[in-house]
Amino acid sequence: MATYIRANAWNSGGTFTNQDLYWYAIGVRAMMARALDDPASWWFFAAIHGEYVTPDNDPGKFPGWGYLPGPPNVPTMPLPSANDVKIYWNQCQHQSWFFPPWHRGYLMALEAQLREDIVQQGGPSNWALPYWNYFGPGNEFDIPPAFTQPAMPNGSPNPLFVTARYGPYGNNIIFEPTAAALIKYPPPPGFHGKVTDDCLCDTVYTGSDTNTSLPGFGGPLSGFWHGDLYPSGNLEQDPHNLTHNFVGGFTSASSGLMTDPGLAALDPIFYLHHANIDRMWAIWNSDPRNTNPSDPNWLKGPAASGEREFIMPMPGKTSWRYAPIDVNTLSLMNYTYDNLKKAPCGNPLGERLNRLGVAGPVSATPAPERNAVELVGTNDKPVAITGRGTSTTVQLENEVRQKISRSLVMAAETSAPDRVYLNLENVRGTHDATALSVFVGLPQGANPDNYPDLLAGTVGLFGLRRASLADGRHLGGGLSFLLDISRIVDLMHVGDALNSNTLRVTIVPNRPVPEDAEVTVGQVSVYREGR
Amino acid sequence: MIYDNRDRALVRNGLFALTTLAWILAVWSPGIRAHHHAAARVFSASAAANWLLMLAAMMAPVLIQPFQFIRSSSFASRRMRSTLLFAAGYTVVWMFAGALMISLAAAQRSSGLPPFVSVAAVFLVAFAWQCSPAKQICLNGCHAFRPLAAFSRAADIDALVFGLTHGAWCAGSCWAWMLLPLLLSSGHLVAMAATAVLIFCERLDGPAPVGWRWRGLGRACRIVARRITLVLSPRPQEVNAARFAA
Repeated sequence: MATYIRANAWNSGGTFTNQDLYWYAIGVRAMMARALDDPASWWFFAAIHGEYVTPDNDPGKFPGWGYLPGPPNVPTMPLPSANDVKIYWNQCQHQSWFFPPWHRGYLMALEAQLREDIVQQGGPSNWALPYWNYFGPGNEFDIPPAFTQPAMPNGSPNPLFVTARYGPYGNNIIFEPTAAALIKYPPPPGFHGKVTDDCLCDTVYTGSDTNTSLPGFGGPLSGFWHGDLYPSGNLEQDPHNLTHNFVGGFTSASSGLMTDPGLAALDPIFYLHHANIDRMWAIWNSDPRNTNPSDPNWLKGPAASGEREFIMPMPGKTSWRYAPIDVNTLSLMNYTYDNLKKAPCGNPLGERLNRLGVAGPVSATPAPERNAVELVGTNDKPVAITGRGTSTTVQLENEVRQKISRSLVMAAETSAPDRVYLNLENVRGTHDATALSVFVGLPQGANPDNYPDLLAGTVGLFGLRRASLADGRHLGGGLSFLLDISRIVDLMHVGDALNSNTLRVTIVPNRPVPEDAEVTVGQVSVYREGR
Repeated sequence: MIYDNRDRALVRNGLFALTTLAWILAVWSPGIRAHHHAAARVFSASAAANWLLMLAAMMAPVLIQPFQFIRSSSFASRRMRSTLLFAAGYTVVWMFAGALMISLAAAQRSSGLPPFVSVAAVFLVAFAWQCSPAKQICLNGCHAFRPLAAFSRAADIDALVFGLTHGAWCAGSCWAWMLLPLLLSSGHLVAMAATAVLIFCERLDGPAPVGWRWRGLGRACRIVARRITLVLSPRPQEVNAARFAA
């Protein structure tokens, strides 16, 4: 039996009667009382994820740490030594297959520091971080109430309360827009950003199979830094990125802390969100079919390839260097979760074949994709995302389009229809809080709200500002997103609509993009993945 | 970006095969072995051929990423065409750079300066360039890929322009070290090999802020050191797990 059991933050109604939340607040307060340059401080830990406080990163306006609406009142001095900054800060791993293991170690290190502070103040020695399971029953899509009260029960300021947390609709109602939540909080026109746990039905960590879309559950093969070319893994994209975007939200004056990697870990809800993401990884691993990479380049981490190593400060002024091999089995770390159940998954290939009119049973055992990937078409110029959205036309190459059609026609014999992906590349801008919903095949002039079947997916632009900076560490190439549009292509095929060499793609921001956001999509392309 | 794994492997293996073949030919090439192949006759046809051979030997490994990128950005039916256009643009830049450098080397030979003076001067220039902000700008340029057009003439132009710009960044980054072997009166092949290793290693590093610093072998040295450390002193998983023991 593990010593540390992470439990649901919604236990005891998600209030301070939940002892995990009460002691979390006590620990956070102790860490917030320390100076920025103290490795045991809340601020130092936030900067390990990312920061806008060093001269290299502070833009001199929002999101600079000196320009954030408090609470929390974020210090900007004293900065740690240049060596500490170089070793510890700005480590977060995104658009990478290191996304799950790096964040697991990060949580454990923070938890160790919090636990020390909690024990010193009379709390339990086996305290563990609670998780916010926004997919839970009832109203668990709402942020636990302990995070929304300005004061704790004894009247002291609540360290879990954050001003710059605006929610999906920007009205300070903080919830995760799951299917259930969207019934309680009907979305305004133009909002299509439903968050799901669909990635739990993936069966490949990196790559694809009949159950899994590229780039796979855990993320694409990558080093510590991997350029601007790769998309997020399926767990990272939905629910991780979308949760950051929607919980943080934005108003006309400011964006929420959670929307930007250089601010996100200042918000105490960050760690409960990541505890849930980590729990989802543990759930995924609890299925014996789902294995983490065995590639030594993953197991040994980026340090084995000469890149930065994962390193965390630990209590007692020590540090912990780790690699994915050290954290890929939760039980070996003396940790578990109180709930590792998941909803049953369907048979994605069977559903596809039924959609294509193929009768008969189909094995639910995933089969590997052949990963023969080729370009099908592109649009011809960058797309600026403004106001309520923009459309562009992807020109398809006739012969490759016919290959897709043939694979769909032959699906009855091969059981291997092509997968089709929409690729948004070179997405640049300054407004991380934006979420874009992408529609495929929407008729000209049609209202997207009336065509939910044509929604290919929603992407959160978490990390946009950094990826758009040409500051040397980044090349300014922006973010990339990959959306599996096979379902829509199947529908077009069945409806005899896959006979044109053009495909209309409509990109709709969930809320109108501010005028100065300058969000652009450099190129929209379509790829097929066949066997 | 979304890649075809088999095509990526094809590019990687093909370019490693090309560099291997080029090195074998270079070792056997009397022109390159005799070091003064180019300088004596100021970019004659044979000097151009030797330069091309040297280019293939030294640069093929650093072209893996751009080749993979351009092929992934092209229709399968156009991959070869786009690759060749990129390679043509890249080679044209380097042939111009080669003509200039070989002319410089020839001028040095006819100047009457003692060879060691020229070699020492170019070495110092190459070292200073290696540490300079301009070098980092060029290296960052080598890492920058942008979306390419896919159809008809626009695709051809983009592939060619990508080759030209990538070649320009590459030549801007490497020119000084590439000049050095041309000035040596002996050890030409060894200098070529050392330069090729440096060029390969410095591309392992990602983009970085522009500034003065030594750069080039850092990541390669860290890989070697890390691998040795892991062999000599492996950290069992239990050591880390013990941190969280009750």
